[in-house]
Amino acid sequence: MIEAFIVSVAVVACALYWIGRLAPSVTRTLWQGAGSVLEVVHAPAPLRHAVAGRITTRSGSGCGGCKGCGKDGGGCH
Amino acid sequence: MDAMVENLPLRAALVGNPNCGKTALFNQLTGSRQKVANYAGVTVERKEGRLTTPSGRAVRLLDLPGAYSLTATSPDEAVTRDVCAGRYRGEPAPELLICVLSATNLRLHLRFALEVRQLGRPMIVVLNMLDAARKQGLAIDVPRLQQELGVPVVTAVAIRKNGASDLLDLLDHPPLVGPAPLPGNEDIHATVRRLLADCVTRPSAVAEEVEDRLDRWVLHPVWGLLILFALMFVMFQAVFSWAQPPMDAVDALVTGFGETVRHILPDGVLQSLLVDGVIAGAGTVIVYLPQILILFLWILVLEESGYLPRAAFLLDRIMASAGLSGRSFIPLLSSFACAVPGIMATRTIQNPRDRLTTILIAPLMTCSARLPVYTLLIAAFIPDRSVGGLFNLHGLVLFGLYIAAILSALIVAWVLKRGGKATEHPLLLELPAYRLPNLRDLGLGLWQRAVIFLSRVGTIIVTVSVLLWALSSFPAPPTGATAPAIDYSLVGMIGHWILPVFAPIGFTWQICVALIPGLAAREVAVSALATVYATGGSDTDAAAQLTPILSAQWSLATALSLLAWYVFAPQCFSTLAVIRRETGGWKMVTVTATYLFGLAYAASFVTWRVALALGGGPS
Repeated sequence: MIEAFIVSVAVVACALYWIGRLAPSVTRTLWQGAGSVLEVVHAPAPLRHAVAGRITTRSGSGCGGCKGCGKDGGGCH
Repeated sequence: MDAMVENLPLRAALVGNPNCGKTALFNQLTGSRQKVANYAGVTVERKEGRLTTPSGRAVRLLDLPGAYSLTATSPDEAVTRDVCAGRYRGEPAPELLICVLSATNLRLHLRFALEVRQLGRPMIVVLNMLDAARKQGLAIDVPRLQQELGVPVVTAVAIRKNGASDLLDLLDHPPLVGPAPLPGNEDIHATVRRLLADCVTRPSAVAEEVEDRLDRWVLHPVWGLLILFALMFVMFQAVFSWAQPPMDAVDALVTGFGETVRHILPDGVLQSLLVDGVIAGAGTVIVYLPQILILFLWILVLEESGYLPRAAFLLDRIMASAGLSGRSFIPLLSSFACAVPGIMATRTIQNPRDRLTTILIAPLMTCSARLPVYTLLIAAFIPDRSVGGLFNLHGLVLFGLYIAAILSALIVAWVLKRGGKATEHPLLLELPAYRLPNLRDLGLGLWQRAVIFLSRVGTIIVTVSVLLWALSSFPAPPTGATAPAIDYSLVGMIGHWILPVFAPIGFTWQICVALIPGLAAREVAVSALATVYATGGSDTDAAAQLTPILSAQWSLATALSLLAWYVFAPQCFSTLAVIRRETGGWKMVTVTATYLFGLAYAASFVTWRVALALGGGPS
């Protein structure tokens, strides 16, 4: 049972990672939803800030290999 | 109010001719690790960093692309011109211009400094590479130069620790007003000649003679090409021969790790996920790290030594036969590492049509992500023996694949340029001084490459492996099923569904499955194959077994067909994304993807048919 739970979480996390790369607007919507829920339940501030950070993160257009990919210019190495 | 202004960071920008050491200075001042190399055109867009002066003053520093003049002729020079003039979108004009000059080439660099001076903005002149100038026997009268220019002049050796301390001290109290116009009506060239006569003495020219002697060989139309060819040939031999011991060591580590995990965890989905998914997928790719590092060691040594611009000069005639100029050489060479920076480097090309052609052929250059695919198939299907007692056959085949890609790129460029009006674009290239590669820089460059590779393994490849494992493990086969379990899984269904498209070029359904995640990045196909075979086979140790599995289950014709596919196919989302950004729309992305997939399919079809005819089919 625990094994199945760990495996499910891992698979869902990997799926979310790829949705984030391929369709960033979809994940942004998901994070916005999560942010609203956290506001309603008065979640701790660090958690809410972390989610807010996810909403504002822009996706770069580099290869994802280096830190420069997060910037507007796309990196690059 | 004054206190507020004092607290705001000073906005300064590094400007100068290409290859004067701006980025090295930027890295030195801000602690950044932007790419530096001994040739012009490495920085093609503005980079930003922050630093604090000894007295605690904050400075926001911009590193701008090198420019020969403020009258821009290429997109990267336009960035510098616009930022200096305060016309760059979203970027206020810098409060201070730091003009970097190479002390070894003042005749050229002073001209640009005088142009910047004419802008009338507060500026500092930095005489960089003073150590190299001294080695050449040059003596520069810095106080006199400062007096003549009417702006503060400091010296620096940007590649040395604390080599920019004078500049840092000066940034504590930077000039607040621009220089007064120079007296008289002297033109810039005459002013440069006067400054050189007054401030620079050249007692000896020994070093120059050595460089000239070297260049006589390296730039010779016949010997130079032979040297270039030999260097490239040895590079690919080294990729196979030198990398084998470390690859064996990494392979043993991965296999041992997989065995340990299997013994620790009980049989079940978690064990299967870790061993068949993560370790089989990521472990198979990680083995190729030594080969990639050896390839980059060669490229970094060639970059640092100053050889690359000479290679561009040598190849200008060959490039011209395909309608390109030698200026396309550096972007195309960068594409051997990764097409993304290569395509960005096309901003140094002045002619828009040349630039577009270079962008379209850059994905054909054999990027390092192809290396795992090539070496996996070569190791599985090409006998490991020497040719003529000297050359490794694996290395020869790899060299052949690189040559095939280069020739294809030249042919495509020739076709693309054929329809247009022929225009003459003479190559004007600055040849930097030869330099012994700095071991620290080489180490840092290799470290960055290793981090990039491992971060891709840790993100792209691990996540794809986990997803593929899930898709190839579920749904479970029905009771009483006789075929292998994977045939009933989602992966099996998808693979068999796509197979009719790829069967005419000899691909198996497992290859079809690997090609889908392989669209994200080429090396993902290797991990995908490992995961599919691990979950589909009785032996779960696919990380160590992939090579023998492939040689047993595929025909030579299939392997050659897949190699031909990978020479052309644009299996990289990032490359297509950067083409969209650099060309400003989807049109060129569609053109690139269509022609490259078309070429890939045609090449695989021909290879498959020829190999079958020659007896390389399934036995």
